[in-house]
Amino acid sequence: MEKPLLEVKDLAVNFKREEGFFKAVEGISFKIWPREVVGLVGESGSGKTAASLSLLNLTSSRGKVGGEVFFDGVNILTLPERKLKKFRGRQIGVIFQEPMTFLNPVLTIGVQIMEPMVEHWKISWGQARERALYLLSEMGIKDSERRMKEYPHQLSGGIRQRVMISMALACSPRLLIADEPTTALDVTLQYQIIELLRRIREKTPMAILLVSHDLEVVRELCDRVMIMYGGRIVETGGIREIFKDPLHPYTRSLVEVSPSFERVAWRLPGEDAPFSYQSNIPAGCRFQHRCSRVSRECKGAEPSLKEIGGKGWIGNSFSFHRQVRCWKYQEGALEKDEKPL
Amino acid sequence: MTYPLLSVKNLTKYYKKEGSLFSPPEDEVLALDDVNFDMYEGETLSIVGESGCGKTTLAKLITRLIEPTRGFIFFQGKDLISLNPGEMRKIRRKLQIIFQDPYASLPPRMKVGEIVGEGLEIHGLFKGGKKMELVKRVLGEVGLNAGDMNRYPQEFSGGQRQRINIARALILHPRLVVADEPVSALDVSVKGQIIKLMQDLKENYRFNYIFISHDLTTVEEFSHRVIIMYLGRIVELASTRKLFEKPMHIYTRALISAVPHRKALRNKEKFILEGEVPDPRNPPSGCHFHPRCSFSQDICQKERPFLKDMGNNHLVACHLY
Amino acid sequence: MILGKRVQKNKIFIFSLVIITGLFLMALFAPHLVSHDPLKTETENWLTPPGPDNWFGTDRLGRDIYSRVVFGSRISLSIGFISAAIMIFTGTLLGALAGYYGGIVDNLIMRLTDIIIVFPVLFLIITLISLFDSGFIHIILIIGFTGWPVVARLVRAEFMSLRERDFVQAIRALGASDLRIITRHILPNALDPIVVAATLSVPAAILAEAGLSFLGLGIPAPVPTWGNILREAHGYFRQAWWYAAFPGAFIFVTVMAFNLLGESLKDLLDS
Repeated sequence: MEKPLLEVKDLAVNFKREEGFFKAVEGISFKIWPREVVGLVGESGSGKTAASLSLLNLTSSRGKVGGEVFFDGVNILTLPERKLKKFRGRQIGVIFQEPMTFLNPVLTIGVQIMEPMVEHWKISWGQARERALYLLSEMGIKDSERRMKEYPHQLSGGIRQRVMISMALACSPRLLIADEPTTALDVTLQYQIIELLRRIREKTPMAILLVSHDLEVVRELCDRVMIMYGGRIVETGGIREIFKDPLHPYTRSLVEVSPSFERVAWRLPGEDAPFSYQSNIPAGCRFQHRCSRVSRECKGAEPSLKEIGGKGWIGNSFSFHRQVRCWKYQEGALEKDEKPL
Repeated sequence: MTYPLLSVKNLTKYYKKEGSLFSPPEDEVLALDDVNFDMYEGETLSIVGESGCGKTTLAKLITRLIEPTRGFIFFQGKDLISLNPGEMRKIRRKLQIIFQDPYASLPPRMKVGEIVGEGLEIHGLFKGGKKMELVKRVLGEVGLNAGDMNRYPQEFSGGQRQRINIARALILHPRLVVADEPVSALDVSVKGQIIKLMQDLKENYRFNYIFISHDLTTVEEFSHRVIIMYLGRIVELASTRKLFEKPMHIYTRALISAVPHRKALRNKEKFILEGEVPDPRNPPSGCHFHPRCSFSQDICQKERPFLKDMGNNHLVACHLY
Repeated sequence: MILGKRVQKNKIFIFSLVIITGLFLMALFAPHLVSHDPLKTETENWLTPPGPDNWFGTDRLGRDIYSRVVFGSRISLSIGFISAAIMIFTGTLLGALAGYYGGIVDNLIMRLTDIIIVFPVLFLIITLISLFDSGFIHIILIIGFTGWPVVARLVRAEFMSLRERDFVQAIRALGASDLRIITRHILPNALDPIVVAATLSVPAAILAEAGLSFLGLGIPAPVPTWGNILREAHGYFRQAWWYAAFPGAFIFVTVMAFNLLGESLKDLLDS
């Protein structure tokens, strides 16, 4: 049986703050299999970006990463920075939300695409140039010769994002982490980039971890999705199952706003609470303040991430479980409450 | 015959950096090009377009936070542009704006009670205890607590801050509220709550609002009419139902196509746009949309299409019609 | 409060504050701290090195340098503070008007600041002093009114960016008057850099006074100021090191303390 490409065990990210430690991510575990496209969905403050960046130990100096991240069997969190650099770019590529902050303003984009190839593969600049031109044209950039000589500020938002994607793909990584790749773009451009990612997904054998606040974008591209809330994974499952039958009340609130959701909407009375510091974390379920179905046990202890039903399959080799972190499903008694309110 | 609550005529705005002694004036940047529309009492009007279409400029012009290059704005029959600063300040009571960024739009060093009550103070309406009583009531109506009065904006989440913004605008009982992307910066699950709140308050406070958005799906449920803008111009204006049933402009169709999983359009043809919005410093000739339009003809490069009524007040600016 | 905690952690801030407080107390209680009359000459005791009777030695007229330095701090510090206050007030007022209104108001005020900055201040001062005379008040006015452009530029930049911020636009949309917007909404948010500028203006003014006095354009003798003592010491550097060393050290420590205070305040307010 095939081994997972990435295995994350009990990952935790803490940020040091004036007021003490702020737990951005608390004990999340998941696997990504080769060629799989997985979505990581959550709203601002859910810890999704911290979680994805910590996979490469890219969080800021104030962040402390705990747990284990196995990439192809190697725990990359224990690697020294020198060896970690070999993973970044070569094995794992990253696309960021706002390309402008991650592109070097004083280098031409050509140099920025070629540099990692020259460094990781030890090929000549001429060879790197050929591949860079190929990549850019693959990304739908027409006059790639000219673009290579331009600087980041000369490019429009859509082109910049395409350049960023070419950079991430330059060394044919085996895993691509895409952190909100379409969020900063206009609607019609978002669509172009989604189409582009879909094409990449079909053409290359790499696995993708798509991080987004937008379940609709994830639905366009992913096989499987993990929902995060308050630094925890609250639900995982196949994308179709999640849309057809969201189990966690939070997932349900995300799915309900979709134009394709056909069931009766529950209403979430609560407000997005700005809870982030340790002192504010409630005892019990993190979602209790916003949950319309809160009961006494939700306030007592935090529910665990419980496997529901049997295994699901993607393709014919990867298996996964449907999981949910909610008291309603803790006892294994799967009573579905489908009556319209 | 009712006359419009708001009437915008030939409104045009070019941003330019004025030249000084040593630097020549810079290129003019087109923000809004000859925009005309009327808005009537009781209706909710939405303005939709992508970045650079001029929607935020329009919001600031209507509330006269910036001055137009050309054109007129009539609000309750009064020509806003001709008012002097004193008269304008008085009329602002009736004309409020809600900004997109819930973090930047609240003063950081004031308590919520002061922020919400400031309008009453400015217009000399209420002071002291009576003011605080009103603030409490409005805060309650937007779903906050009276105790929140003594807290600072930093202590609130994005959605709650937008509620504070709404309270600040509504305490003056305005006739028209221009909401410039009020939910764009908010999380998905909070968006709906804020929109619903605005709908509910509209019933109680009897105000009218212009809802500005980059996202066509958000406005579908609650607006009566929708204006679609592209690079400073109105390209289509129709009732919401008509717009979604029978979008005419290619750009409108592309916007609707970009909405994933829309049942209504699943079987219809999809319009995927190539390229990006052109540089507003150097807008394309003729129809601004022609470089991205798959139906572009010779005339589109030469002549600007004007809004034509295709029946039932469905206006579209396209040479195809 | 968070700021309180940070202040405790910032040792430089505490250190400089202690020095400045010390200098203040010294100026305030000057008569109680000295045993000699700073103006009394004892020519037979001229240029005695530091010793148990004259801690900092005596000058060319046999006056006690310690007493003169301690009394000199009164003049130096008060000139420093009052001139800095004039700089801050004028600079904030003009900078605020220029930054808030922009356009022609801005152009006029900024050209005025350009003129003052490029104008050789020394010539201006020499001219002014030859026209009037170099009294305490004149020195303060001259330093104050030539030092504000730096503050004005800073305040202007701050106002220009704050003016465009959404929360200021929101207050405008509520119908607030310009005065209310400036005083209640922009100024409180521009206060941090102004406080820092104020702290940094004091040493600039103290140095300006010392410089003027050294050139003989400052407070006329025999009133002791740090600059005056330095001027008198000129020519005796080889025979009597103490003559220039002590007033020089006081100028150095004062200026350094205020600069450190300003810098650490900036760090505290930024973080």
